[in-house]
Amino acid sequence: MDRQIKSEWIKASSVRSTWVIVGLSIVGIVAQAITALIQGGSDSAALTRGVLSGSSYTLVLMVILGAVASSGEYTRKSIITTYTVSPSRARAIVAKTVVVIAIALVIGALSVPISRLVAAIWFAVGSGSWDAGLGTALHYAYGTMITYAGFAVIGVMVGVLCRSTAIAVGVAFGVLFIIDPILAAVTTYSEYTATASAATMLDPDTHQTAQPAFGAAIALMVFYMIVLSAIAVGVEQRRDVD
Amino acid sequence: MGYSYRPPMIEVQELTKTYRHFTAVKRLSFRADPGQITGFLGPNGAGKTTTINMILGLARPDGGEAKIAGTMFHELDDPVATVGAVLAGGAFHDGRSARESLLATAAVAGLPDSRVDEVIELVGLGDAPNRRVGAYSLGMRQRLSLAQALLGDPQVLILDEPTNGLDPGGIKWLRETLQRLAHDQGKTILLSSHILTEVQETVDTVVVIAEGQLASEFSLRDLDSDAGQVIARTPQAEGLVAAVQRDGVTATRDGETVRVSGMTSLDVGEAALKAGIVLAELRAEHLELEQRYMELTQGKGR
Repeated sequence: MDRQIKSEWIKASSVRSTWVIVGLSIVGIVAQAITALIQGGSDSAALTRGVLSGSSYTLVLMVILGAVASSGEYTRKSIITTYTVSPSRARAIVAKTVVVIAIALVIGALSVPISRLVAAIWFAVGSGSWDAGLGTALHYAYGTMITYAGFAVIGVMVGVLCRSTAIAVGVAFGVLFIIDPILAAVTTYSEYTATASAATMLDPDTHQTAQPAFGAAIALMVFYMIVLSAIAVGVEQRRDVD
Repeated sequence: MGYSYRPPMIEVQELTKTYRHFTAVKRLSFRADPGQITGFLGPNGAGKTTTINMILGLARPDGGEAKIAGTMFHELDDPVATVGAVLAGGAFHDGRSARESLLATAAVAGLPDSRVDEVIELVGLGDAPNRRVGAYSLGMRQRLSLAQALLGDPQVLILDEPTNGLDPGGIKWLRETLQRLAHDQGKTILLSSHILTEVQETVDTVVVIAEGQLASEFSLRDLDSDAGQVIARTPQAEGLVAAVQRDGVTATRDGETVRVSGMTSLDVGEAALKAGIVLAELRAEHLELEQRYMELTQGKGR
């Protein structure tokens, strides 16, 4: 598996799209922090939550990162090479997922330090203050990392199922940002949607009644990742590659 | 010298593939042996690519099985070191360099980076290893595909229409490379094509399929010695006609051109040498193979 992961890392790191998405993700984090600072207000605790919470722009990019990593192989036909050098499709998909998770975790881990840096510059140039302690920062970093990784995995698996980058991104967005909110409108389901668990984890200190608790949100995200991965791998192992 | 049995490296048994109501491959059986180049011929839509995809585990057969070195593809311990494939005009990401593409494959197989540089030189891409594959010509992509196939120095090579996009020089290079790999290094090569003239100088045995079924399987050498026609050009045409005269041989002269039936080109060359006759040209004309191929496949394209 180590060799397979190394191979997937070479693939991911050698194409421009990966680095463009990583760059845009950083921009998304900065944009989220600046937006929160502009909208700030006098409540320093609320300001802190707004600045530190994970970027929803970047969350969208994580879905794209995963979808491009997997579906791009079909679009470019390089999946033929992948499967002829590695007959176990499950291993190939797992290796790709590990690499995408690693990239998402790094971006998630950078989220809080970048936001803190933006806030420090903002306060140094202008006025205002916040009260972000290390414990709060770690809490936000932890939640953001898991959310980004979870949505990136969802992107990978939807990409495997759709085998087309455009369709995969469209389907992932449709499910996460249209169908999921509609299902959330149904009271009995609202706490169990992927977007509700993401909302909890990206901003763990602001708890809404329609959102799961932090631990439940993590469990839900892991559940969605495992179920979708099992479906995608199961389907892929039975399909032909043209 | 004792007889030693060499088991087939590619063995296809009763392979069948159906797409909805269309049977692409129907109970196809054939084999490819070590040290030989096996031509896998058939018109467009005959089922060649579907068969190769099943051999390589890319498509699931509905019946039968295909084995490489006695093992199903998905059960191979080290696929890169067992079988190399040239498929689909080069299945590479356009945004990656040739070297990066090969490094990704080398990593899976646990091969050193130096092996990547070796095969790049071997296929003649030494001048452009870091250029993006998207900027490669079709011929360069075919060379890169071959580099990838050779990366693990496998005993089996499967090539699907490898001459697509190659210029005459590239085709000659490919022919010489494949002949060296098969005849000198004992590798098993399965070479598919729908253009007979492109492979007739390359292959040793031929498997012809039409409409997904085996039409014929034969050795080119047998065919050549049976009924091939050799064409020689020499200013001493009359002397050559006399030199090759024997039972079962027919030689006719037309100016400086002599057509000989019933002898191989090697035999004609030897006869000319013994008679001290200078040859300006000597070639075998596979009229019989072409006729046979046309008979087997006529009207069976899909």
